[in-house]
Amino acid sequence: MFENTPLLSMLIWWPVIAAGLLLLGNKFCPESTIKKWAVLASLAELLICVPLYQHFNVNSYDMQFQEIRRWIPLYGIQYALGIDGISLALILLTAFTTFVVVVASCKLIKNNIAHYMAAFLIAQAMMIGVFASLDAILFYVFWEAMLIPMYLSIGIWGDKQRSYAAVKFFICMFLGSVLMLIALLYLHLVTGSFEIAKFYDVVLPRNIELWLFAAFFIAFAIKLPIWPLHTWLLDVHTESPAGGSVVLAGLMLKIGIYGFIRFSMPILPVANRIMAPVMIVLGLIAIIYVGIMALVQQDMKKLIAYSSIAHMGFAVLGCFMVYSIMHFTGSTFEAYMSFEGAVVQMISHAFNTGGLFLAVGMMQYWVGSRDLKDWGGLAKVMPIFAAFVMLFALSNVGLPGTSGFVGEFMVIVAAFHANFGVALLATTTLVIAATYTLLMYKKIFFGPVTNHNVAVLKDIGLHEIVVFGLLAAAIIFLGVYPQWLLEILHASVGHLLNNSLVFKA
Amino acid sequence: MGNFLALYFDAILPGAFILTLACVVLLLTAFFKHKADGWIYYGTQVGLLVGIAMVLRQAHCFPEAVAIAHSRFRIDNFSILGSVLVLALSFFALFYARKELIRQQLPLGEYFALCLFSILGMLVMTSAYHFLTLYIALELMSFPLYILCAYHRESSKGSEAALKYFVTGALASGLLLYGISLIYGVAHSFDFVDVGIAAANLAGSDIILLLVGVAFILAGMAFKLGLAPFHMWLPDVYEGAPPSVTLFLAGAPKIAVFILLVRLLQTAFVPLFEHWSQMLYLIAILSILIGNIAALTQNNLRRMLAYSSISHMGFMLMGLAAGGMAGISAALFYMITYAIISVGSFAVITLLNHRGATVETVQDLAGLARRHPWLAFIMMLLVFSMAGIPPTVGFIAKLSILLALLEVGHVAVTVFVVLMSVAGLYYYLRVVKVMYFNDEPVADEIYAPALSAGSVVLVSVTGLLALLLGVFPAMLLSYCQSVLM
Repeated sequence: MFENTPLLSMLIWWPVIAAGLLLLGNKFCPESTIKKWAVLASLAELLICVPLYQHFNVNSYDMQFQEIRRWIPLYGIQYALGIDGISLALILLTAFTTFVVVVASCKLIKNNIAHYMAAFLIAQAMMIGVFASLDAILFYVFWEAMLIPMYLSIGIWGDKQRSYAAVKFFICMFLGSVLMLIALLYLHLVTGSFEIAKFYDVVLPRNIELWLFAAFFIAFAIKLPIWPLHTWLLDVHTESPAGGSVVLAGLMLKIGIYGFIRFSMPILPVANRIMAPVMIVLGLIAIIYVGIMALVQQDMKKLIAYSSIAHMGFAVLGCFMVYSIMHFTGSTFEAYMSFEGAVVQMISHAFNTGGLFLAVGMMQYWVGSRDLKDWGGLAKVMPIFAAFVMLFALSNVGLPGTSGFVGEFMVIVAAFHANFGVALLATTTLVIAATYTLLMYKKIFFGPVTNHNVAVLKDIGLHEIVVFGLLAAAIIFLGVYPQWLLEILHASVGHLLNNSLVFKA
Repeated sequence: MGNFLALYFDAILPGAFILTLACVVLLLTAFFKHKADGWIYYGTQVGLLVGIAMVLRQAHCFPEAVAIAHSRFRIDNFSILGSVLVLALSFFALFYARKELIRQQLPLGEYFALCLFSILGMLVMTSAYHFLTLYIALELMSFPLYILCAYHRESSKGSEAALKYFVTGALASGLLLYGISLIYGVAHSFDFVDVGIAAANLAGSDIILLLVGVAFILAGMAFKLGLAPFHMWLPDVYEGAPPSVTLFLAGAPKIAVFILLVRLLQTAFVPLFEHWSQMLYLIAILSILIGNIAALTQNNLRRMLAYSSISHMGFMLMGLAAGGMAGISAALFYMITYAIISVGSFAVITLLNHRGATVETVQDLAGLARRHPWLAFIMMLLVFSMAGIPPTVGFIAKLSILLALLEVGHVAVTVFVVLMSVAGLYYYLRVVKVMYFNDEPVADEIYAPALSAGSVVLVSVTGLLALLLGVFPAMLLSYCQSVLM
């Protein structure tokens, strides 16, 4: 019955409609009703994902659930939607994470709750649009439109420096994306089409490929972010509200990686092969240098932000090691493993970082400080909370049995044959991440309770347990049974790898 | 003979009607003073709507383009589009004028009469097909505008702005006239088409003389559009003129001059494309550079929007410089949509003026989101549209210009243009930031006037158009192309 239902359009437009209704209802309904409807709206979104997953054919790399309508015929721009395995995984992740954020925000936001929920619902819609677009301009429109709700959510509900952070966020993002726009328009000029799939067949001279790579690189590297373009993330993460941090770290950073694997690598295989060593070095810098930076942070949000960048370094490493793997060992199996490891890493990162950001957001809400020195002995006061955060921390470290382990393990194992040095350096993350995460955990939860405000706290209630429980379940599920995710990804990863590794002309 | 007269009648009807209206308004003012204010206000507004109907009737009367009065005028779809836009934007601007005039205790009758004369000039301009018509129309449009700038006699800023506008405007007219005389000297004709034919067959030193003439004419037009390096008057006028005059200036006159410029480039100057294209690129690049950089540091809201308009005009000019159907239709789309969002943003500012307090600095918008959430939302849409963020129409307009630029192979210019739009984003974001993120209350009662439903609805139309045309641009885009055929 779902063959002819425009599921993707529903996924994109339902949250927008729901957001509009929430804003309308804001005048007439009390806050509690608004919260209830916001939760129901995002739950409904999650339910739309169920038939999407059920009817998805994991054995095909074709774009499924395609919807193609004319949009701007004059320029040949189409409203074209469709998903492959990677898109599906990211759309499921987006719907899930937004649901968690909406539920969690019910208790974390004091003013303008309807606007807050509306902003996140719209941001969610735009992100799903990004993952489902088959047309380059449609992709760009969603990619940019997402910035508006994020900008407002940081600026309205953020901390003291929020306007600075919001403006910095918007301008950095915009700078990256306009260059990408030129690259897309240039590809249009060459192919005469805005279909992303058509871009894959294009053969360009090497220097043009390198220029286009530079444009894509700036766009995606800022989004990701890759060192040294990461500075916006620190300001924005520390200033944005808890939900904003989760969406930023959990979803928006993924769009950077998505850009690399959907655009940069398959469209410009030559340039990517040439630049792969540079990208690998940048990935390693993120893993080691940024990891060390995380060690010395006093601000919890900043610490987790640094840890995010370090984890994204792994995803970059996994993507770009495929060139090295094919060159040195020629093993397709290992290339698959590396690439899929990168995707798994970016999905699992959403759960553990999301959990940590939510935890810190709640702590800041309770006590008003996110400075490590204000905390201590929380485990005595809030044992259930401590247990959940422990799980997120361990997943962040990459403990076997949690989802954090799977991606890192796959990337490192795949790298070992191709380049022992890279693999060895990447392995240091196990030490560094363990150090900063566990140090943070120790400072917050163990030792004596020094702060009076902390001593009077009560343990989390059912509401928070549900929120954390959802994330914890996801972490353990993916940690124990990653095959579920890998099955979804496998065929599509193969297709993108074929395009990325091909020797054109 | 009867046919001939009927043709004339249909062609000049809207202009004659506006002229009559202007004279009636003048007479009413002379005899009834303030007592006729209500009649004049509603009469003019209804008159402008009737004018739109008459122009639309022309589309029905003249399925084919016609040239009348020894081809001094040309009525075709393009001129009809221009006239409709001019009248509609004037309607919009005058809608907000009455409250402003009452607030500033200024006489209403003369204001409306002057506006109507200026509108008449614009209507003539949209159908001008002859250099003399061009010149007369430009002057007819400009003179009332000079006076309107100084309409608030006690305002020293207004007088300064008007003087500056007048002096530079006179210089521009001089340049224009000199350019026309040079062209006449070479082509021996004032007719656009004849000049085009002559230009195609010229050789040697005559070409250079003709090009000098073209350069002078383009400079004169650039003055009127407020393009760098002929932009000096614009920020002062936007800031110093009464707010309702700024609102008027930002819309209709720009459209009229634009229509005329496109006409010139498409007929008289066609053979010289390579030459004027270079000139326009230069002007466009300068405008985008100066407009964006100068706007960054402005604290006065109208001044900032003035510099932003300079950069927008530069952006639009890029499309004309790129030439071809793609470029010119992109410029037309840009011009139409920019006119809408620009009058919308000035209308929001004008609406917030109250008693002695006017919205001067960006900071004066602080907390608007709390006091007038809907108005703040509309302003946000307009500002994001100016910045070119999807899903607003500003993005589609910029996209079409970029596509036209890339099509003619100007990659470096394209990169420059988009990087400048990143710089521009900063000052647009500042407006949104002030409206939404600043919570400090600033003398609330001063900046919270009660607004009439009609004025909010009308300004909402512009904001919602900015969004709707961004999501469904296909129709207007293809219309812009077909109207130029």
